[in-house]
Amino acid sequence: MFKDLDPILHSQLRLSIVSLLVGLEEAEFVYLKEKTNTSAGNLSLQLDKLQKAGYVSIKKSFKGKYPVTTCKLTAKGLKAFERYVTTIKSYIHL
Amino acid sequence: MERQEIADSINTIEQAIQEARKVPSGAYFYDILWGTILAFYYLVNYFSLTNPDALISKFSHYYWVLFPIGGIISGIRSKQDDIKETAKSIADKIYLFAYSGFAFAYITIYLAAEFNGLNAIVIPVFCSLLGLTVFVTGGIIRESLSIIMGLIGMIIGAYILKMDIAHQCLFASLACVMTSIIPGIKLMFARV
Repeated sequence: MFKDLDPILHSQLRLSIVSLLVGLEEAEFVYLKEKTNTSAGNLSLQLDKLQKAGYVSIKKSFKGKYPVTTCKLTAKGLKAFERYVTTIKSYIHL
Repeated sequence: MERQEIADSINTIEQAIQEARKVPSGAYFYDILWGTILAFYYLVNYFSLTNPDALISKFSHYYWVLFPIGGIISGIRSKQDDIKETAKSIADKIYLFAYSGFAFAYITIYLAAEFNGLNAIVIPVFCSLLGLTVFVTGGIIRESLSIIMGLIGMIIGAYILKMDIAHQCLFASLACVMTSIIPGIKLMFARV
């Protein structure tokens, strides 16, 4: 039997966020919103779930006068992503 | 597990990774800037050692000022990039660590060589370290031109080991053009 896929990552939007962050040092909220083509509210909700799972760290700061939310993949998030990809690969080899 | 779901997940991962790769690295700017400063600096040193009466040689004691100017320009550029960028590429972090390591290694070797009266090894070591840094960063970001130029830089470093300081300066200038300016220009045009 195949290992179960991580329910946190097994959502297209959350998977998309994590996949973007895998290839980046860090990304701002506006970048993720633009690339995932989703609403701010939905993105915020999904980022919150990823943060609670310990997959993403979120830092709030200021760029000049404007508030900025920066997201970064954690080591736990990277491991979870690698596990997810391995599981997916095992499905393909069926 | 539906076959369609697997296909969707793979698609999502592939698209996102491709998208993240499009985040441009600003490293080319520093390559060109510092490559030009160092190439010019070594070239001036070559002229001042071989032809002290030339006009360019008469100001050779003042060319060190290019380094703080380069530092200020780099600082301003870095701040501008921070304001503009909404995502930071991994390549920028690789460059930061690689070139910080290069600078640290070069400064320690330079000080040790000065202290021990081994000035003749400083420029060959500079070329080798620069070549190594360009080779490694080129390998990580998959830029074959940087890999080749990095190798050439290391070869220049070995080749000039027994030369007099003036000719070492001339070859160091050439090494800066090959390892920094040429790959920098290539990276500038390769940006998305």
